[in-house]
Amino acid sequence: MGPTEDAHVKLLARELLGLAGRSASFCMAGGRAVSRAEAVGVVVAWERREKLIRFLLDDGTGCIPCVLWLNHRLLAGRPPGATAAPRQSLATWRAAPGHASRAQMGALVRVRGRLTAFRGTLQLTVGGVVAERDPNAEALHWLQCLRLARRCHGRPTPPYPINRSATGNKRKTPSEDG
Amino acid sequence: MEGARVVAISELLQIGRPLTGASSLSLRQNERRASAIFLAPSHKQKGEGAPLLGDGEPVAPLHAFRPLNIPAVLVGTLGLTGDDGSSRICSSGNHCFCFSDGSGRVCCAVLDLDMAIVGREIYVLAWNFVPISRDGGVLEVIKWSLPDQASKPGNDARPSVPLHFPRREDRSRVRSCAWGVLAAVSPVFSVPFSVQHGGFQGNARDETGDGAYLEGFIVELSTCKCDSCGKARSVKELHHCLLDQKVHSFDNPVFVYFREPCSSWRPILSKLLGDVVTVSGLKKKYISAGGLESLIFVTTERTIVHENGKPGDCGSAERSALPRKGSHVGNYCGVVTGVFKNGTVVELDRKNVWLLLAGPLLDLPHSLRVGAVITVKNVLFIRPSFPWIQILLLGSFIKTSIEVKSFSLIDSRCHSMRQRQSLLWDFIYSLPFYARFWALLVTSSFQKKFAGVLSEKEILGTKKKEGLVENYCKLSLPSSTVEHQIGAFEDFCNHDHSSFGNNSNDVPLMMVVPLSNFIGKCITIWMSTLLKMQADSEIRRENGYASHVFCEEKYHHRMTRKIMSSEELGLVLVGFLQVSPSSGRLQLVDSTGCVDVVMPDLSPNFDPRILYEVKEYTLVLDGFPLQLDPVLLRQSDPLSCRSIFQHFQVKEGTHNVMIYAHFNARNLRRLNTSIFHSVVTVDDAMGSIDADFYLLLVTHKLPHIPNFPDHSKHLNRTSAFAEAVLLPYNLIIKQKHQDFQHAEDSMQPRTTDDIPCLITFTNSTREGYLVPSNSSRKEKISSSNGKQDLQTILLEFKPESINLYQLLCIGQYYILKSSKDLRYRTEHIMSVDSAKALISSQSHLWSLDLSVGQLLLAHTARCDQLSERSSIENYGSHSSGVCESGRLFHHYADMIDKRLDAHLYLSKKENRLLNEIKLLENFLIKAHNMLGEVYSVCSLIEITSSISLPYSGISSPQGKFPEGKFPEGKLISLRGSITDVHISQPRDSDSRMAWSYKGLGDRTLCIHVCEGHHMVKVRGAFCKNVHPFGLGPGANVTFHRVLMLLNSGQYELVMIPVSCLVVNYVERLDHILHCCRNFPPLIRSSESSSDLDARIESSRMGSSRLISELIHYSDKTKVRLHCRVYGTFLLLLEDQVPKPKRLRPAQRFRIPAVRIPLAGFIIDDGSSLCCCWADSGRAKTMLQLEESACQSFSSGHGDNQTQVTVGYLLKKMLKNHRRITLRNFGAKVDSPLVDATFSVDSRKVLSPFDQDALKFVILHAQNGPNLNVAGHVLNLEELPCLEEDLSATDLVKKSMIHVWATEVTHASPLVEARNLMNELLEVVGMPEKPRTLKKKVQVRAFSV
Repeated sequence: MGPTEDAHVKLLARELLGLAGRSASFCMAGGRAVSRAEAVGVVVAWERREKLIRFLLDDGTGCIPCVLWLNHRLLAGRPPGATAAPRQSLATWRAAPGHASRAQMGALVRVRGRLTAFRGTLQLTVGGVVAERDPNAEALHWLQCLRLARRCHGRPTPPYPINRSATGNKRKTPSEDG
Repeated sequence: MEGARVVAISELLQIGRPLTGASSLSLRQNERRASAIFLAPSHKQKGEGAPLLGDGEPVAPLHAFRPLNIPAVLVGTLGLTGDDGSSRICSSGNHCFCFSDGSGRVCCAVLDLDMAIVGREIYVLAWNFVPISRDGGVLEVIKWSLPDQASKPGNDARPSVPLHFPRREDRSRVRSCAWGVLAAVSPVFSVPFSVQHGGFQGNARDETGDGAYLEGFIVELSTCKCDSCGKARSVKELHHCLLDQKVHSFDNPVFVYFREPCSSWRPILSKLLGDVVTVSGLKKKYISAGGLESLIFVTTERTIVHENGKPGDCGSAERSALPRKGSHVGNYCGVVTGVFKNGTVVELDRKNVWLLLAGPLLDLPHSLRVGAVITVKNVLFIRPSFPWIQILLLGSFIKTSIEVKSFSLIDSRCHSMRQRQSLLWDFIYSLPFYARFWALLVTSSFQKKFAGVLSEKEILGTKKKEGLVENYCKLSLPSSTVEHQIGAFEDFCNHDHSSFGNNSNDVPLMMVVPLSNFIGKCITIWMSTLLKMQADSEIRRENGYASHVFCEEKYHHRMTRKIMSSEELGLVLVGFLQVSPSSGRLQLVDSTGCVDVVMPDLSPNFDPRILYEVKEYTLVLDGFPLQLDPVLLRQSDPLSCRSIFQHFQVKEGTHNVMIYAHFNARNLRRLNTSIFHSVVTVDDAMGSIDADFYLLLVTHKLPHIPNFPDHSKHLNRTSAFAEAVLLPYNLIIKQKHQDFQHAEDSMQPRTTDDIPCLITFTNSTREGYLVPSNSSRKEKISSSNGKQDLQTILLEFKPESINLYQLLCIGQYYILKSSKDLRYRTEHIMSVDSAKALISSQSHLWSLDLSVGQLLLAHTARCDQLSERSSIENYGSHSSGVCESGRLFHHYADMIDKRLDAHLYLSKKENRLLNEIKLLENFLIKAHNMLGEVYSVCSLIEITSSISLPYSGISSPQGKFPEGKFPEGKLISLRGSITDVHISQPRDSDSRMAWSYKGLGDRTLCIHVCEGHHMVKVRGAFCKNVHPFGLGPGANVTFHRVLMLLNSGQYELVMIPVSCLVVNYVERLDHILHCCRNFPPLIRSSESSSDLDARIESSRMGSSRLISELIHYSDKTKVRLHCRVYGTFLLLLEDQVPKPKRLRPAQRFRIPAVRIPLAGFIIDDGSSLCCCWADSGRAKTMLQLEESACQSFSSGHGDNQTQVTVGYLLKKMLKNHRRITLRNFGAKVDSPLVDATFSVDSRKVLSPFDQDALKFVILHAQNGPNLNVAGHVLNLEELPCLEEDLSATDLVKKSMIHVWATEVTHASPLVEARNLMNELLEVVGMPEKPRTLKKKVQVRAFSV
């Protein structure tokens, strides 16, 4: 893949969830292939599993299902004498707890990751979570998505208000959730 | 030496030009005797031999010194003027030495004077001769010798005066002696005295009168009263005592009056200043000076002065004897660099040090000229508080002496201070020093300002009549400044001279400069402003935000405004008011130049003969920072005293700056009160008979174009034009009423159609009628269909009446006296049948407002009512004269109600008139409708989004306009505040508008007009002679009749030659605030200044580019990317030798001592990836090293776990290995460090733990925040050099674009979002949906 395909495309939930394709190969309506994406929004649902954390990221246009793998925890906390994990994996996984800690309920975060499909549903396999302290970051993300849509994706973004997707149409505040 | 010719004085006088000669240039001091012996035989050949100047020699300028080619000496006697019974003063009025050789006699100045030569024959071995008048001159003796050294007085004896031969033995007693350090010598002055029995025998000059005048001078001796001096019984003992090694304390002042015949000794005594002298043979006398009697010594026939050497020779005598009364009396030695005002002011050292010699008694040495080195003794050091300049003023007073230390050969002009007998000089002498100097500057300035306009006598005055300068000085100086003059005795004996120069309590004296100097200063200020901006840009490395504006994808020079108040400048404007016939603008003029002025409340009836002074004004400099003309940079300071005393001319160079002063009419002060000026009022103009007036509403002013560059020779004076609507009523003004109420009651219509009215003028009320003209009668008949149009007329203002045009306001009613000038001609102008009225200088045009039905209770209420209304309708009350906070100045438009000439009142009392009045109201409404609506920026945007033009399709898609045809669009009026004005390159679409620029200017102006957060741009030709003053950032402007065009789907506003710009008011904008105008106020106030500055810095480059678009950019293109680090493919880390500076404990590990010579990153902005190269601090920012260094990093598991910070680890690693290189082949996000290799400079191996720490740093960078990366695009050849076996392209894909980062900052989401929003809005442009506006005006502009 070339540099364009490797880039983390800034997408709104509505665009992301509307991507066509399967597995790791998706493409936008304008024809651009997308494998990685970046989204900014508020964590509105959060679920902890043994090996992963699942959460929903609401950016005002929809909710993106995200998954953050925590396998490294098992590997790092392995009993003595077990097979040694590759050093580079260790290094990667050292960062995972940090990402997990930032994906808190109600937090405004920027997530980057690979686009994957799980049981026919598109999801974002998160590679990094960055907490955004400045609320303007969300507005900037919208504008950047708009610009990318105009100048890179080959087709302008349809006018708003948008038709909210089935995955959720209303941002929940942490208090409502809790 | 051989063959030295003896030159006679008569020969020098005959030649009559400056000469310099020497017997030999190699003559040394110890050769004096030899030369004297040699020269003795040739003495007899005086005046004989070859002529001094050969005929064939090139003619030098007469004032230049001419060296003699042959060795030449003068032989003669050095004496004192008056010794031989001649006049005691020389031809120049000085008391000086004289030199005579039998053939003639000239004044003389001697360097290195030995008292022994006075009265004796000397050989003058090196000399200059300067002619003063036809039969006079000055011989400057540089080197001399005695004919016979043996004839010198005894070696043991100290020289003494008088030098009578044979010398007498001094048998004076000590009580008739005065001794001590010679502290001060006064000039020679005369005092009246009455002849008493056995009294003085003075030099009775007053032959007719009762009294006689005694000539003399005073010296001050600081004597010693110690015991040893007191014990001396004779002069001889006194000499021994003074020469003794004892310490003397010379601190008791004693005054000695040297009266005739000793008054000629002054040149000698002034040479002895600072020496210890003994004056014997004195008498004690009481004098009465200033009401106080004091005892002084007076010289007698037996008086002898002995020189006892310097105070240092008298043992270790203290120097306290030197005059130290007042801390600022002292001596100054310097080179004369300028002599002005006949030697009254002398510039020293070119360092703004000015010696003021303006005193009634002062002697000016003959040799004081440019180039001479002088020592001024006992001079007052004054620091005047002049606001426009800082100088050191040396004020000379009665104790001051000037000694020439070195003669000058670069100038030969002798300055004489005679002819000071006038009222002006008497006045100047009565002023303190700082005011004297100021008055002399004013004199010089006025002489230049009014040369050729006023006579010298009018400016300076005469002996009996005060001149303009004196009147002005008296008006400007506080009355307490003038001091009464005191007598010379009292003045000299006064111990406290410090008050002379004290002006700390006074108001700062502002300066009147010739307008050429004023303009020169303005240009200097402008140049320094541009230089400062340039320096600011250089500090910021790239385009400084202060001078550039980002518009249409480019940076443009922003119009810059510099505003200064008159207090800051310290200058007063003086001149005549006139309207420039060439530019049509109001100016203040003098003989040297002119400056444009803006006066919102100027009466049109000003008299150009009246001289005005303006103290309070605002100077505005508007222009574009396009270029710095080196010619103007080299200009000397126009406000230096030298430039005021001398002729100053502004150097011709290009500066692109509009200079104007803004003030109100009440700030004008008349200076020449002799001219009687009568203001022509309406009453005067009407005369005794009934006057007939037309009623006009001005609908538009066509810009006054001074002259066309192509036709400047033919059309120097052009008319100006305005459009108006003629109301179908004539106003007939009848008899005069003093009482308003009475006048209202007496209103009776003449006919049924006439509408009675009252017209209130400034000082009277008159009755009148509005008589319908024929058209309104028709209207009445056909009022049912209402098709009658109002008549449009064109007002033509002749050049002589251009001031009336300048004061004309759009939307204002005027009455115009009907006359033959109003010619009705059917012309096809602006597609409307119109008449034309010629407004000449005899025409009268008065502004007027109308009110219907409102009863004015009294005439006096009018003014209050007017001002009240104006405060509502306009933008604040102007009555106080102070603009609102932040508002710089108002223009005509906003001041109009303040200056209304008349008020027309229509009563609704009578029912039968209601219909007539209603008809009139209909006409008024109709007339107002012709004015058209003035849109605000918001309303314009709103309208263009909903309604659009019926575009008739004349323009072609290519933007080329068919020849001979004109574009169609809407003429609209717009009002808004200007935030930016810049010169932009003409676009392709401008080519079809080129007709509107031809002849007016070759540059296109882009004006950003804002209201809130909305902005529209108006483009037009840049012509500084056409645009009104004040147009620039901060101005609130109404654009009348700008053309709104639809071009390529977007609306454009274009100024055309009929567009009229009216500046309503101007607000002061700060550059930085101006730059961040888009910030909401809340954000601006809540952020700290440093944050703000950083964000301005990041925002100044506009919105960022996308990486996917970089492929279209050429190399070295500067780009800004909003991105984050995707991966790291190369990292070089080196141990940095820490600088010896104190660090705070918390910083020790936070900022590791790491140097990054080179790092390569892959960056991602969502559109694509690219390689980014960075070094040092930029690489650290991209790595987030500061944050990651304080992260903890653990090793081991369970109980053996240890934790350290990454920063500590890095420090330790670099200490061990010095240099670490990380290469990461094919850096990817998912497996970022699979192919990472580490190499170190040391022979050791980097431990896995250390490798993990480095990987941690790299992973941390990948999850960092968004960054702003400014840099330029690199091509593959320019990539940084790596090791020989490895190139950068091995590490990354060849298809990637490479960028070298020059600046990396953390991005501000708010600023980024705003820039992005602006960019997106620009792309969107105005909506494309076309609909019809209410009106359509077809424009047929004049092809220029």
